[in-house]
Amino acid sequence: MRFKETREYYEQHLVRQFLRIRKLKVYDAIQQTIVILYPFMLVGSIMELLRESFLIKGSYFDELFGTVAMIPHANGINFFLGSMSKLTIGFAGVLAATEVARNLAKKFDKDTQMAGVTGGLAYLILTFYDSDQGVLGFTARSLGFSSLLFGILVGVVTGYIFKYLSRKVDTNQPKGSVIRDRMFNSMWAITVTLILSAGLNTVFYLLNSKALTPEINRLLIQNVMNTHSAWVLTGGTALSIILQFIGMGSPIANGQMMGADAVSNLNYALQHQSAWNIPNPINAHGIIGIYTNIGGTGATLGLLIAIIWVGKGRQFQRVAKQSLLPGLFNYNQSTLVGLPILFNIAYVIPFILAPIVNLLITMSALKLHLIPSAVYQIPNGTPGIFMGFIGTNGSVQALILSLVLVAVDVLIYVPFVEIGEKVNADLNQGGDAE
Amino acid sequence: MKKIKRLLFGAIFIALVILLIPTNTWIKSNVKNQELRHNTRMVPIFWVPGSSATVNRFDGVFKTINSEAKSKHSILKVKVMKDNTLKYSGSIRPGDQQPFIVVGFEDNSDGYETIKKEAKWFNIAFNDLDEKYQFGKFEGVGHSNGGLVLSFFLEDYNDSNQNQMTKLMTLGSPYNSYETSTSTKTQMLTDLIDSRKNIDSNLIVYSVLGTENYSNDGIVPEESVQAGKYVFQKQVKQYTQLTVTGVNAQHSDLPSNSQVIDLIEKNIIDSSSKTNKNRPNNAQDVKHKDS
Repeated sequence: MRFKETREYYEQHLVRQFLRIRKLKVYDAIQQTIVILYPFMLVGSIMELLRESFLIKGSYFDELFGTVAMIPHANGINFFLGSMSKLTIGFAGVLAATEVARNLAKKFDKDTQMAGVTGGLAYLILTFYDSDQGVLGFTARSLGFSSLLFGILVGVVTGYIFKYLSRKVDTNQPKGSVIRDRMFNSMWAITVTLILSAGLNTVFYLLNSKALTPEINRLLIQNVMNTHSAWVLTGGTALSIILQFIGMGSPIANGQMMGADAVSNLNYALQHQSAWNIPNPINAHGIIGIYTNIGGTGATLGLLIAIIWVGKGRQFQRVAKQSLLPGLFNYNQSTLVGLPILFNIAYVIPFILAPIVNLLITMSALKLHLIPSAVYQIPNGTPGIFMGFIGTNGSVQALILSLVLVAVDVLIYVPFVEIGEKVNADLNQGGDAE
Repeated sequence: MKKIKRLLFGAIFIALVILLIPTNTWIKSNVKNQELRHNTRMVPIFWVPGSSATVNRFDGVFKTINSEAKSKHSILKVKVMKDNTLKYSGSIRPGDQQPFIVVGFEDNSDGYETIKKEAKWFNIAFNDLDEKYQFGKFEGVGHSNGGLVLSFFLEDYNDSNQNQMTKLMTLGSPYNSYETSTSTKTQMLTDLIDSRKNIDSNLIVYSVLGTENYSNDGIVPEESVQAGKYVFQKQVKQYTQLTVTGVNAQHSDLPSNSQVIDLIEKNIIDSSSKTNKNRPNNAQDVKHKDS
């Protein structure tokens, strides 16, 4: 009983704190925007999943069943799906800039459409770098999901420029004159926003730094990929999850951590025909690339199951069920924006805790020789819970470990799902969320 | 609602369990394959005879080499027929790290068209052998047109990431056909030069030239053998031109010339496998022209 009381006390305390922050206008605008991205991210991640798992040579289903040769016009379908995923997930930064600007303008009673269009354009101007022979050039990585933060920042700046430089929208005017008024009301705000972003872009151009995010990512990946230290692995994992949380994209993704050590491990295992006793058991490929983030950054497969298991909100249930399929293949963009998790302080603790716990359990299991090291290469688009199984040449222990880790993640997420739902319920009751 | 929930979980669970079976089969065979490729130390030497010679062309050479080797090299002969079928004789002994594989052709007439066809036929035999033995590396010795066949194979068919030729020795191979001057380049030489970029840059090439008089080996002009430099020089890691004179330096005798056998043993065959048994040496001068 004591335990339950203390837990309830802390829960209420957390709920109160979360509510205070959520009532900030900027914060609320950001949260609403992120949720709006959900359908785009869901469609995009399913398209990307089909592409990566079936249509690329050497992908999971291609290795198993030869799908690339089996499916007629695989290349054409690949292009067709790619165009959709690249302009949804790969366009998330632009969408965010548009929506944040629009939502903020609404809260300040300014022209929402004008602000939205201006925010999106401003972001495109910021990432523009060249035009040649009818093709407009943008740095692709700064447009996409790993640049959500920059999209949001541009949206916020645009929203505030509209707050101070444009006139309020008068809804009582006769219809005919409204459109013309909008034109003049927002003129200064639009001009200033566009000039500001073009100016900033020119500064970037002159400094020759194409995009900030890839640089940070490259630095982190290189450090993590070639380390033997458990501390660096843990720190790198935590840092990459925090970067994901603030919308900068996780530099550490599943299954692509083949550093020099991983290659020498593979050679050793091939030579001795066994994945036990390899020279570098602590390495990024065998641990972070496989077991840490099952279901995507933040080990969100556990979260989806937790919501389906204990969640009561109908909308959360729908998001969780729809995101389960991409989640099984480690695509969690729709989960991150649908609940949302990004910038959502209700989820920050488990979002970082679950992967770190996974990491520690995996390292202990390796140290205690409960599992062989995962050294073999894993095809693209492999389901998250199979990665350990494949990486160890079909070790049942590794498969069991993956399942145990997902179960642990579920238990970590369950209490926070309950808190998150309380916050939402209180917000809706108060009615002052808008 | 509860029912749908259970159904959803159940369906996903069953799908994953079913997937586990092909996944398991695939990973096991995939890793076995990788292990095989990684662990085969076998580096076969491919021998290709010249025009109008059969797969038995090198029998004398093999006899000499095997009589001096610590462990005998097993010999496998493949004859590629005009209809692309393969006729095998002999075998590779298990554990032999350096077997000799002779690839000969039913159509062994002279001429550029035949050489190109033979390169294609060689590739058929090569792929069939690679499927069986999965060697990552191999070496080559080509006599006369056989050297040209190996060169065309390297340029037009070989993927050096899969199967890397480490050493090639050509014996009197006429890279410029029967031309006595390098200023007139035959179509064949032009084609070889055009595709030289496809040759692996880590290859080591020895081009052996025999001279009976001061201009040819009785059949092939010196200049035509030397034209090989336009193909290999500055493209491969090392290109060495060697000139052999004296007894048995005639074009067709080159493979049985004891100096040539010495060069093969020293440069192509792993030298540690040779015993120190002395063979009577007929005095000959060997000019080394490294580039």
